[in-house]
Amino acid sequence: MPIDLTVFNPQPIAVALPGLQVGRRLGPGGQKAVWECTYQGQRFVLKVLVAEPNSTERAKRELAVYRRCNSPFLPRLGPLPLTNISIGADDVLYYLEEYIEGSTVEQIARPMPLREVIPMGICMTDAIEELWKNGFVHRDIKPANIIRKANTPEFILLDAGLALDASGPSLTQTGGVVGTTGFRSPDQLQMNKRDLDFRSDLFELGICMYLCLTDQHPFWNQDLPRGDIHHNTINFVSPYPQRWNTALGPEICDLVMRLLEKERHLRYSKFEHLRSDLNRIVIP
Amino acid sequence: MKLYAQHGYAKSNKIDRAFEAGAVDGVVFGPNNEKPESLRDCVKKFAELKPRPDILIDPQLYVSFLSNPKEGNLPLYEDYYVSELTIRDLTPRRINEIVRKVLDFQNELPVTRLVSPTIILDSFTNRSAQVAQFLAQASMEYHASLIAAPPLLLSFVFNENALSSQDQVNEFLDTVSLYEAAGFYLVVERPIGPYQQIFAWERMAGWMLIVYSLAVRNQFEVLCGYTDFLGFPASAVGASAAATGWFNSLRQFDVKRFLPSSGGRPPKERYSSGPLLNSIFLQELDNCYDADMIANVLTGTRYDRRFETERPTTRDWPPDISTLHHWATLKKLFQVCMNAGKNTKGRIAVVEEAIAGAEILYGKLRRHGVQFDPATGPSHLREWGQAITTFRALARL
Repeated sequence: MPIDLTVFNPQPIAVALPGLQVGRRLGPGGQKAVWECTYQGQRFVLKVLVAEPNSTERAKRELAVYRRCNSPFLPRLGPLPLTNISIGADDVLYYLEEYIEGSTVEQIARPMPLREVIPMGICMTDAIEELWKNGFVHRDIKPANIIRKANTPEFILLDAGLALDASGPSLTQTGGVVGTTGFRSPDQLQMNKRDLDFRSDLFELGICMYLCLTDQHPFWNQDLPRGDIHHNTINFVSPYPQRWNTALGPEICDLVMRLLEKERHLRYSKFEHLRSDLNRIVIP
Repeated sequence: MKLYAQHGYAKSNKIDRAFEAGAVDGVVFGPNNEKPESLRDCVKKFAELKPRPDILIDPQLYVSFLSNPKEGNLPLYEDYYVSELTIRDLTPRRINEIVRKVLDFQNELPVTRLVSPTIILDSFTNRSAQVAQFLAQASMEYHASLIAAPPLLLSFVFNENALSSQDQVNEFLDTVSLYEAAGFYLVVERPIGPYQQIFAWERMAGWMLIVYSLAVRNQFEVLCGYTDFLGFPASAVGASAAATGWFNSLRQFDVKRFLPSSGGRPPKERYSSGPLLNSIFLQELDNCYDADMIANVLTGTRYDRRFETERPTTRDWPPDISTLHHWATLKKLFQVCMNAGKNTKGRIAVVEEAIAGAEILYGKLRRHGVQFDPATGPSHLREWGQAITTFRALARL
């Protein structure tokens, strides 16, 4: 019976690692369990996963991403490398990551005000740009993976475990579609993943912004057929965001609709253009 | 939206006069019709004009790849031009060498933009597309190493058949929209045939999508070469400039002028009508005059006043005036587009109105007994209209 992370007690790790004090559990477990902790007097999160080939590779990928990238809108690694510990007959892996106090966008009431969605867009643009500069496509941008830092206007993009290294080896089998249902771009759903680029992440950002601004999913709402969200993502144009939130101006609606373009070349191909459009939007 | 003279044979003082008259804002030189020394002199002379016009040189490397081409003066451009190239010759090393020589040649002259070399792209799925992209990429890399060089335009010459596949056009755009350059110099190779404005709607829609995506969505400078009246819809979808020349063969691009000539007769005199969005024969303008419809057909430039009160064929209409009038007609159409503001939807609506107006006018003329040759009739308008409808759907406008 492999270790069940939903009931896993991290005490053996604290024993093996002097100076580590484990606090409350933050993440429910499943593939990865997360605890608040302090190590050598500093706050971190402790991430624990079962040492299986797939999850190990993904953890290595996530750490490689954060090691190569340097952005205030991506988490920083803690002072420990990915470490293996045997617990009975099983092995688990753990590492430390920056502790970010705040709420995920999934936990925030919707519709969110424009004054919050615009900074979220700007922070995510910076994070996606930093990932792409280092050859990565995140592939799993969704409200649960964006955290609003407490008492700041900053948003951090979490969980780069599914990131595609555009120049490196693939972690998933050819033809496998990664990401989260409802938060995948048409490129992700249709293309050979080696051809993916950052514009796929921009599409996912578009889904998040649409959802935050309207409290409606752009491809799963009463105006669209309730058949298959993948089919809708590929084939249907989302209703204009004003359809759900009449307070929205055309500038923000056009920007979000542009992020949701089916063709990559019709989205943004230069980060500075997206940033400039975001900065131009007047917040009432 | 600027208008450039597309340079070609029998230049004489046409470009000088065009600059003097303010008819064009720049020039795209074609070296095959100019000896190197003369081209250098012209570029230097025009660079001293005030206001300084835009000056570009199309390196015309694509001519070398044609079968038994009529290269004109191109072999004299020993600095960069190589005759009888084949795609197989273009190894990565050779591509880098060609690119370096082409850009260095231009960079030594006071041009305002450097233009990358290219070959004719027959299809987005064959080797020509790959090579065209290699040339563009090598040009970007080499340009990045130049200090204080003018901005780079990446040139592509599409055979119009290639534009039929929307999926392939989209894939091409996915790639080139990520390129690091100031912009693009785009030319469409038309089939060899009579000079006319017709452009099959699905190809025209693909071409409009390319211009729109690069110019409006991705904010590149887009210069459309050899556009003729198509410069009007190009201005609606964001082109920053269009170029067209004095002879029919310089107004639109086909490879006939680079192939051995079998002789021919001088072209019939033409008149470019803004309201008809077409260049009609002077004899047909006579028929409009006889039908008391000439006022509806005239563009209203400073050159066509002579036709207001007398039968056109009784008035002098020398080729140089006809050319200046053609450019003035295009500029007037571009201005109509610009007056509609920066919004693409608004500009497209203006072009659609102009097409509808031209169709109505052709209908009225027909009812008044005015007949047109198939090449000067309204058949292009239906294609243009359908192309715009299709383009709107593709661009979600």
